[in-house]
Amino acid sequence: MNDKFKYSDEKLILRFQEGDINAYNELVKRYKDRLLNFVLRYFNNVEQAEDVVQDTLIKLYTHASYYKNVAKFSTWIFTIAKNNALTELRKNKRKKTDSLWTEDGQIIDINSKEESLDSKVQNEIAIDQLNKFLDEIPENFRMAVVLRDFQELSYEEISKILEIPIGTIKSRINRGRIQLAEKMKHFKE
Amino acid sequence: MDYNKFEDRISDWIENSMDIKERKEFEKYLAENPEHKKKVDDVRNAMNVMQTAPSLKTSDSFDKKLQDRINALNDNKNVSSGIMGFSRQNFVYLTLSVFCIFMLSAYLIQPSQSNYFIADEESVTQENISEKEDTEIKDVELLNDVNGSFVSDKD
Repeated sequence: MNDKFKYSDEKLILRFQEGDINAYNELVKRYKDRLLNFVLRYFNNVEQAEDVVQDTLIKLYTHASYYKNVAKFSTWIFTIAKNNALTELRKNKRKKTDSLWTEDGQIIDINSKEESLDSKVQNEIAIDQLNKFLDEIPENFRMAVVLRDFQELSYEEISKILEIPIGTIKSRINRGRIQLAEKMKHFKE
Repeated sequence: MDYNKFEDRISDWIENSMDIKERKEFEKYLAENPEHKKKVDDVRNAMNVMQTAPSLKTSDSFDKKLQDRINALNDNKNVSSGIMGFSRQNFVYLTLSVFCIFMLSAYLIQPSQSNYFIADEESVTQENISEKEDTEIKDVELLNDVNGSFVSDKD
C-alpha cells in the first residue's frame, strides 16, 4: 500500500520522532480519511468520529516516541483509534439513530427516499445502503470486516488491533461477509 | 466436506489462502452442490462492493482544527517551560507579591511594639537594678570595713 509513496509510514514516524514536522503532516494526510472510515463504524456520526480521529492524531503528535519500530505503523495508529473510540463510547452510551451518511460525509435520514435514490450506486448497491447493512451485522463481525475489506489490512494486523486470535478474526470476517452478502442479496431481490 | 465446513472456508477460497488439498476438496464440494455456488458469488460480490466503495473524507475544517489544537499544545508547552514551572509573567507577579508581603510585615511589626523587644527591655531594667543593688551593698561593706578598722584601731 505504501509503494506509491516515497517514504514508508515507518520511515515517516521515525523522521517525526527526530523532529521533522513535515513527516507528521504527511502521516496525517495519509491516515485521516482511513481512520475516519474505521472510527465511523463505532459511532454512526461523522462529527463524533472526526473528534475521535482528531484525538488519535493529537496522540500521534504527543506520543510519537512511544512508537517502536517493531510493529507496523498502521497497526499502531489503528489500535490508538480503536482505544479512543471505545473510550468515547464508554463516555457516551451509543445512541442508535435512524441516520446514515452519504459518501461526502453528510448525514441523511434513511426515511428520505429521494436522497437515497439520488445517491451514487456501485455494484447496484448504494453506498449508504451498504453502510446500513454494515450497521446491522454484529459489531465484532463488522469491525473485522471493515479493517479487512475497507482498510485492506492483513489478518495479522487486524488480530493485533482487535487483540483477538488470528483464527477467530478469520472466522469473524468470513461470517460477517456471509451476513452482509445475505442482506445485499435480499436488497437486490 | 459438509455444508458448515464449506461455509467456513468461503473466504479462504476467494482469497486463495488454502493449500492444494483443501482447495481441491472445496471445489469438489462446489461441483457436487452447484446450488451453493451462488453463495460464494454473493460473498465475492459483497467483498467487491466494500473494496471499491468510495471512502468518506474528513471535513474541510478538519486540518485547521487539528492545527489549532497542535498550536494550543505548543503554547502550553512554552508556558510550562518558564521559571521554576511558572510562566515568566506569573513568576514576576509571584516575586512582587512575596516582596510586598515582606515589606508590609516589616512595617506592621515595629521593633518597639514587639514582645521580643519589650522582654529585652525588661531584662535590661532588671540588670540595672541588680547592678545598683550590688553597688549599694559594696558601699555598706566598705563602710563596715572602715568602721571595723576604726574599732580595731581604737582597741
